[in-house]
Amino acid sequence: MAIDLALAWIGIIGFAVIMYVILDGFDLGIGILFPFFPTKHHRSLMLSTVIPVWDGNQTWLVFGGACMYGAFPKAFASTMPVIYFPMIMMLIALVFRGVAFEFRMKATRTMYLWDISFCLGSSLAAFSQGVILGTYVQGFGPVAPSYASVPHYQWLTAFSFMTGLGTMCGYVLLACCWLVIKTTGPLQKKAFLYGKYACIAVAAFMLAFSIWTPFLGEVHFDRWLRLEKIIYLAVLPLVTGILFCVNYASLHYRKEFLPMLSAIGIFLCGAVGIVISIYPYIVPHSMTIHQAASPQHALQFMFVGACISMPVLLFFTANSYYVFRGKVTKPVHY
Amino acid sequence: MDSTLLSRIQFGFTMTAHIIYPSISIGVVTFLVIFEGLYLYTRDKIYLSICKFWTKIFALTFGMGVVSGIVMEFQFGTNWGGFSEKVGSILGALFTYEVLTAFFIESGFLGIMLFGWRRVHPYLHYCSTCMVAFGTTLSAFWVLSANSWMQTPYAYRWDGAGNLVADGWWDIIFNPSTIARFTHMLLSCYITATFLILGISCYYLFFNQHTKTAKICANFCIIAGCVLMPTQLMMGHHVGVVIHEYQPIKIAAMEGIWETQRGAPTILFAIPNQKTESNDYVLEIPKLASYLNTGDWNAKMVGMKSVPKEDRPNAFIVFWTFRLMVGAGLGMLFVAYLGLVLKLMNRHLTSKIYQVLCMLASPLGLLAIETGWMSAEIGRQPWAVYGLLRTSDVASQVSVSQVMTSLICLIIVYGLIFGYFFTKYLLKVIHKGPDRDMDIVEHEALAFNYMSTFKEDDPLDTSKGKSNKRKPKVD
Repeated sequence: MAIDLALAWIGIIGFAVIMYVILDGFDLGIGILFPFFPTKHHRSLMLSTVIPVWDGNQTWLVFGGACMYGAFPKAFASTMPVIYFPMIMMLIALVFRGVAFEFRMKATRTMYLWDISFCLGSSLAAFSQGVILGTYVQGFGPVAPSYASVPHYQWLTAFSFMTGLGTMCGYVLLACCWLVIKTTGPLQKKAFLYGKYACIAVAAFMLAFSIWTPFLGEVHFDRWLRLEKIIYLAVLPLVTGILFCVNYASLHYRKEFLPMLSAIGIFLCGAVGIVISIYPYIVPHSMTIHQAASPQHALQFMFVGACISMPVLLFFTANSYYVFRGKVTKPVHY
Repeated sequence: MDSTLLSRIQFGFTMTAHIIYPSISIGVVTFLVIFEGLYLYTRDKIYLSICKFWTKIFALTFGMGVVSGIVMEFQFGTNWGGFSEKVGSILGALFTYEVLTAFFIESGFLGIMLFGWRRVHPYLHYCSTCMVAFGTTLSAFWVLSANSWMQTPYAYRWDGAGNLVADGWWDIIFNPSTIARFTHMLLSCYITATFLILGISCYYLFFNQHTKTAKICANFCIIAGCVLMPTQLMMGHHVGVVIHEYQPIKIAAMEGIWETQRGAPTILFAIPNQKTESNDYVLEIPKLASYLNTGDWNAKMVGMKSVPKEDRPNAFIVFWTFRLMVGAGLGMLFVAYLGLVLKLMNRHLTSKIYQVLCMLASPLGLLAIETGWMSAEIGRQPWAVYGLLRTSDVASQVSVSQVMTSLICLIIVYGLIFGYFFTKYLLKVIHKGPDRDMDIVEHEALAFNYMSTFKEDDPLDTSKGKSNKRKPKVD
């Protein structure tokens, strides 16, 4: 049976990216939220909800990167140098974020330092990821599909700044939904409140994103605002709008799991929108998925591994969430 | 300065910082597997206390390894775009397998291992520790496999567009140097942890703190050192033989041999001079290099001058990093066997001089790893993939200013985070020591008993409803 392996790999990478955005999204969102939760006890609790799982969450980023490297080396090689600066910024931010988990537990007098490091690291990482997303959606123009002659400041646009801020808000929304599930009392109450603010902000950013995208260039315009397509594509904003209403209402009426589910739905809709903007390109709009793919046997070799281990890994991930299920009422320690 | 050189410096710098943490993690987690096993077997709380203490250090180093590791992965794209494009379908596949088989296993069980003491059954906890150990070891395997392929490329083809593609995955994963170099690295991780634990235990013994746990660890480490060090010397020798076969110029640089000759000497001291293409101030043992690398005293050794200048690595750095590695190894061998001798005289735990010696020897394992990797990687130059792709041809064409900015940022951040704060908190954990946590240990032990008697219907638990004096079977 002939499976289109390149497409299958895009599916796997897409899955990894979505897993990363949702799972590490709430980790990073918690960091962004730190200034709004000034008490030490609250901060410790917030961190304790993610400490046992953050490493696994971040592994989805490593996975996405490695798949891109292995399955679409040409795309990896030609996009990374273009987004050099935001990429390095994200990596350094992730260093500050990641070490804060460990160092904060060991620190006594300098705990505030690691609160700052966690907050700034998370915010900057989220912002950089948004900028990278924005650069990607804009497209890399008619760049030769090679690593040579890199235009350096393509990422530096108003659009990518907007997506950067939007991503931060999105992660805050996820974080609030996560805290609603994992905490109780005044902390949870605050999470409900900030969740509503974040919901409105994300809606605004997604609206701006949707209005702006068709006007980024002719390719985008063609995809979104051609009359014959507009009927189908109207479904997406409609579903997203409904999800936003559900999300806001569930936060308002203090439901515990519905906010997270609807927020994930919102992110999935966003992902579908992005796919519509760039498919079938992997480097928009100069290199298609099939042009960038590794030779068939390499894709096959990797695919076998992925098929065998992915279910097991998902089970492991689910297991570790299951072990640390329930409300967090006191900070964790070794 | 061109951006290729800067990218090399940046990659080398981030790699030098990164390798410290996985090495310690792999060694320490293996130590934890042994001691948690001992705890489950004997149910002696002293082992639990050791486990809890070293888990803290493990968590600290593992965290550092995770954050510094992501930087490595994405640098392949940002700084080595050409490399990614040309060998991505081979090395990227290996890295994908690393994530699939190693990283997810690690991260899936790390949380349980660190924070799950009271949440899961002790056997499941032990299982998690073993899985983390298995994951870290496996990730070392994949990295070594990928790196060995860069040293001794095998089973590849050139496609039409000038990229390297695979021609037999099994032969790529198990290329000629994979097994030898993986074993060499794994042993050096164990050795690093052994001497770190020995040094810290001797620090406690020296100041008469936590002596009970420190004695157990020191005894264990001396024995481990005595077993590991000779094994490692033999393994290192074997790696040398493999390298001699596939990368003769690298061996020539390590041995400081310029002219192709029979019965090449082992040089103990020299200053390799790249200008005159000879060594200054030489102190040597005749014919030993030939014997060590081939088993024949008069065998022919290829010299660096047999290839043009642009195909040689930096002779001085490769020569001296190699000597530092061997020197550190011999130093550790000495410390381990001195400990054994003192142990036979029953003085190893009381001799203050030996304790100081062990403290001084504790970073030798890391020194050997760093210098060994430097001589291996700088010795591979000017090639990115030995004999196939030149490093200068595969760097990203990013501007000098960008790489300079990122390099400076990384140096500041790494210096601050990994240099200053990591050391600070590591010393803090060491200073605090294991015993102060005895109340928590006590608590955990109670939880343990509680769980093992409470879960009577657990099929895994063979000590069903019996007093905790009886030894359970550990499977």
